[in-house]
This record gives sequence, structure tokens and C-alpha cells, in this order.
Amino acid sequence: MIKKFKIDHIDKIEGHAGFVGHIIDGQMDKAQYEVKMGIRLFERMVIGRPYMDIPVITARVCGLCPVVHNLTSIKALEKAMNIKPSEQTEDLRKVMMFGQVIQSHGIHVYFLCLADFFKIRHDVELIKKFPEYTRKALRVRHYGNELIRIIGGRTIHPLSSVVGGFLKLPDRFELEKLLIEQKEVLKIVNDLGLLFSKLNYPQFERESEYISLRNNKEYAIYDGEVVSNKGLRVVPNNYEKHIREIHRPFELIKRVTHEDREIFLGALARVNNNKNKLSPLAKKLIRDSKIKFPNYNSFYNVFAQVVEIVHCIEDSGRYLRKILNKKYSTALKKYKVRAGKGGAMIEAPRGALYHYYELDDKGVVKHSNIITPTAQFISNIEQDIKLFYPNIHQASQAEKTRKIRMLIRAYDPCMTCSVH
Amino acid sequence: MADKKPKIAIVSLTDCEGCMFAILDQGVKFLELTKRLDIAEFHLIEDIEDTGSYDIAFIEGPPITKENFVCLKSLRARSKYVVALGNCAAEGGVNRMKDYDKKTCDLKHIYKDPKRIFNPKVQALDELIKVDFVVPGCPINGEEFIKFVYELLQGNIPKIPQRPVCYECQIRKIPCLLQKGEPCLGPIILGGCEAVCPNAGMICQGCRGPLKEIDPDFKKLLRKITTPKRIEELTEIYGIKDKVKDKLL
Repeated sequence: MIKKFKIDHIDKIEGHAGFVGHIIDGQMDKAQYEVKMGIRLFERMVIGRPYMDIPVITARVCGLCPVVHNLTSIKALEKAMNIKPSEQTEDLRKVMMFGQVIQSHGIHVYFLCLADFFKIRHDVELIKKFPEYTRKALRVRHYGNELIRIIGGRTIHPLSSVVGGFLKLPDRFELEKLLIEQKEVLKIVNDLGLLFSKLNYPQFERESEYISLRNNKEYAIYDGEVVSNKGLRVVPNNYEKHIREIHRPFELIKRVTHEDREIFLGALARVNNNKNKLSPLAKKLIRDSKIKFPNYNSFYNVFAQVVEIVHCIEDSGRYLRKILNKKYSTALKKYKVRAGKGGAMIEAPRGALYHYYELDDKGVVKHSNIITPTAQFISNIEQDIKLFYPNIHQASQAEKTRKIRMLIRAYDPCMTCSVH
Repeated sequence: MADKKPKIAIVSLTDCEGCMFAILDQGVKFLELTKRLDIAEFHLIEDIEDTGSYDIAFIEGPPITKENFVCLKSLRARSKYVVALGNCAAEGGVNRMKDYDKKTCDLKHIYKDPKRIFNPKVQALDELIKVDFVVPGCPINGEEFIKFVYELLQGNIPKIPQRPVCYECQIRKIPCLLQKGEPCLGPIILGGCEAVCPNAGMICQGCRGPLKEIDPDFKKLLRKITTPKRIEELTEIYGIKDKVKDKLL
């Protein structure tokens, strides 16, 4: 007899989704993650529009990770027009990305996930239980938000970052202030690190293919090659040629596989692949936690995000100092609009994001493709749930639902991004 | 019951949820708000289903799924005040772009079996239900939102002064982008945004929607600077083209 296991709405993730599984003899035979967002057709709506409007439009794919959509489309458009941005521009963009990771992970680990571990269902209750941790979590997030606001002009949907550089450079005095705040935040983030290292993560193990960027110089967020633990190693420019995008009838998303395998992207993939490039304090947090990496328990994506928060706070200091040690050069590079094609990737908080554009000689978009991390890892969530289910089959319906929601949330899926 | 906290819902339909994050980004100010309100529905901070009635329902994004339409009607029926939260709910927002160029945005380019995909025309909330108040912007200004909530809780529908974005620039001494020859829409767009875009060097593209009365001379000025095609492109970004085309094109 097949029994249906259904979750109508998975709250506390970005956007709307549900889940249906088929249970036979205590095993989950079929697992279907259901996307419940409408279509917006970003890949088509940008066609026929001038290149300078594209980063403004694509930032609106997602209100949680607008910075990475904005910057990835800028990078891809620069690639298409053969523009090489200045080192100063890239440094400022990297700091914006640290901000993006800190604020997005901050929301996810603290406000979306933490309550699960204490069986709390409303964050107002969580806030009452942990006023001190909440204050610290808010301060950490605020720092991330400020990195974006001071450089990009606004936290959600940045403004001054454009093809070729910046419309306006950040006030140096504001950057000095950020550096002071960075030192303070670095002190308090350790307490949050310890809190998350001691949580009771459900036992589970399934080795996935972990895809992330990799960079010889530093922990790869802004750029690098695309690599995996199963031998993938390509340049981002034509990533779409190396993976497969699949349309299933009735589905609004394009799922992704690599050599017919489901893939994992996000903090756990990055820490698994690049842990030796993490900042000293991030490495120390891993050592102190005694949690082993590479780690094949998807629930630990939450902890890996905390590790990355520490890394991004620490490394943002290094970059802020580097920027402040030099006089500003030109904000915006002069360039020629020309026809071309280009793809680029940046590590979004929930995994590597790909944008691709083809432009005509007037800089008008002729073709585009956006591959989001959530669309790439949705099939992997389903495989995890199938394998995890027998562990909880004997539990009550409510407990089963709670654990499966927890596993889904651990991935930090973004439904808005997945459909776009 | 005087001691009962007002009950509110913050709900998203189909959009980027950026306005919800703008609310959460208020941090400590948002925490204060949670003490004075019963936030019964806000899927980013709770996972308890609530089917009750609300003093205020804040709704983000236009309806694009069938469930979105059902949810919208139901929230209207269950709420004393309905507030459109942000540009997507107020004007349709970036989502409207898929309807401007039907040929380019034909589903057949993306889906193998497009007949199975629900693709309604994007409509602003007030085209579908009665909306009591609009919080404009893409995203909303979080501080302004908190101020509006307190006003609404006192039973007042807030009034946003009908002043253009130019007013915001002038009081902040932000250099005029129009005078530099850039097609800034500031003169015809509702202020209250602290001129966040011009302050970052970017022209106003109209995310807060047009003023009730548009200066008829602005068209002449804008046409000296740019082409009708560019005006069309700019006013499409935040879905305000249909409201302003007679005055600008």
C-alpha cells in the first residue's frame, strides 16, 4: 500500500514550496519537492533591453540575495563586452559579497533555522528565550547590511554597482567606521559560532557531488573555477555546457544534474571543497567544534554557513584595509559597447549562481540564461529526504514533518530564485 | 478588548520578498514592533498556519499562481485593512515586463508544454481587491514602513505628501541628474524615499509610482534629453508605463 506523506507549505524558507512523498513499507519511494511560486520570466523579459538596465532588473529576482544577482549579471555583461574592471572595483564588489553572505546566512541560520532545534515555531518565542544571542545575531546581520549599503548605496537592490565599476565610490570615512565595527562584530560572532557548533544536528549521511567555485588565492566567493569532489573542473564562462538543465512537465523550474547526478551547492559544498582557504578564525571555529569536514550530513549546511559568516567578517576587514590603504582611482572605467557573449558565476549564499548574456553591437540583450543554486540542488534535497526517511519512519506525523522541514530548510532553498 | 494586541499578517504572493527582508532589516525596531503586535502570519519568522482574521494584512507581490489569487481574496475577506506592500503589489512591478512584449515572453521559449503553465496577466492588487493603503517602493523604505504601521494601529490611514523625488534631492543637496542630461524621472515620482537612488548616482526610475498630478511640461524636458523608446524602457521597469504614457510619450 502506498501512503502519501504531504507537507502543504514549508514555512521559514524564502518563497513558497511544499513536499509530497510516497511511502511503501517504511521507505520513501518517491519524493517530490513542489515549487509554489508563479512565473516571472526574467530570462525572457531582459531580451530586447539595453545592458545597463539588466543588473537593475535581475537584482529583483531575489530580495534575499539581490547583490549576487546584480553583480553576477554585471560580471557576465562585462565578459560579453570584454571589459576588465579595475582591481579597486573588484575589491569593492568582494566586500559587497561578504556583506551579502553575512546578512543572508545571518537570517537563515538564526531566524529561519535555529528555532527548529528547540522545537520553537515562532521566532518571537525564540527572541524571548535568547535575548542576548538575538541581539548579537542582529548586530552581525547589521554589519553585513552596512557593508552592502555603504558600497552599493542600498542594502536590498543595490544601486551604484554597474558595468565598468561604480557610479559613486563609498565615503572613506564610512569605510573607516565599518572597519571599527568589524573588530567589534568579530568578537561577538564567536559566541554564535559556539552556539551553533553545539546544536543537536540529526544524524544522517549521504555523500553528494559538491559543486563550488575554487580559487588558488583565497576562499572563492567572487570568482574561481567551478570544481566538484567528483572531478568537475571547468571555467564559469560556459558552465551551462557542462551540466544538464531538465524540464519536467508541470514544473516551473529547470532542474540541474551533472553527469546524471544530483548536485549539492552552498556553504557545505564550499567548506568541503575549500576549507583550507578559510580565514584563521573560521578554521579555529571548525577545530573547536570538532565537526569533521568534508562533511556529508546536509543538516550541517547550517553550521557551514556559520563558519562562512566568521570567514566573511574576518576577510572583510582585510579587504577594507586594502581599499583604505590606497588612494581611490576612477570609479567607472571607460569602455566600448560591443557585441558579444559572456557567462559568469559568483557564489550566492546558497550556492554558485550563473548568468549568461548575448549582446548585439548596441548592447541590447539578444539571449540570456540564469541558473540559480536552488534549481540546481532541488533534486538533491529529494534524494536526501528519501534516504533520511527510514530514520524517522517510526516517529509521529508531526515529528516526521518537523524533521523533513528541518532538512529542507538546512539547504536554505530560495523559491523565488528557483523559478525566476 | 483594550489589552488585546492588534493582529497582523505579512504575506507574499509571487515576488522577490525584498520588502519582507526590508522589514526584518529594521532589526531592533522590528523587535519593538513584535512586542506591540501579534504577528500571526509572517512565513519568514513562524511556521504555524493561521486562518483567523487580521486588523491589518500587508501583502507583497502580485498574484501569479492560482493559489495566490485564492489567498488574496481570502486575506481581503479576513482583514480590516489591506495594505499593498511595495511596488510589485502597488503597480505590478518588474513582473509586468513579461506582459509588455508578449512575443519575446511567449512561454514556448521556456517551457516544452506551455499550455500547462498558468500565466495570468500581472495586475496590481487594487485592480483585484479594495486596497486601503499602499507602502510604495522597490523595496519599501523600512523606516517609513514602521512609521506607517504605528499610524495604522491608531486607526489612521497614513498620508504620504504628494511631493516629488526632486524635493528629496534638494533638501539633501544631491546634484541634479536631469541637469547633467540624464533621464531622471524624479519630478513626476512620489518622494519619501530619501532620494536613495540619485544619492547613489542612479537616476530615479519610478519605483514609488507617479504623483497624482504630473507636471505637463516635464514631457518636453525629458524629450530633449532622451528618446521615446528609452522613456518606454524606463517606465516599464517598475510597471508604471500605462499610468504615465499619456503624459510622457
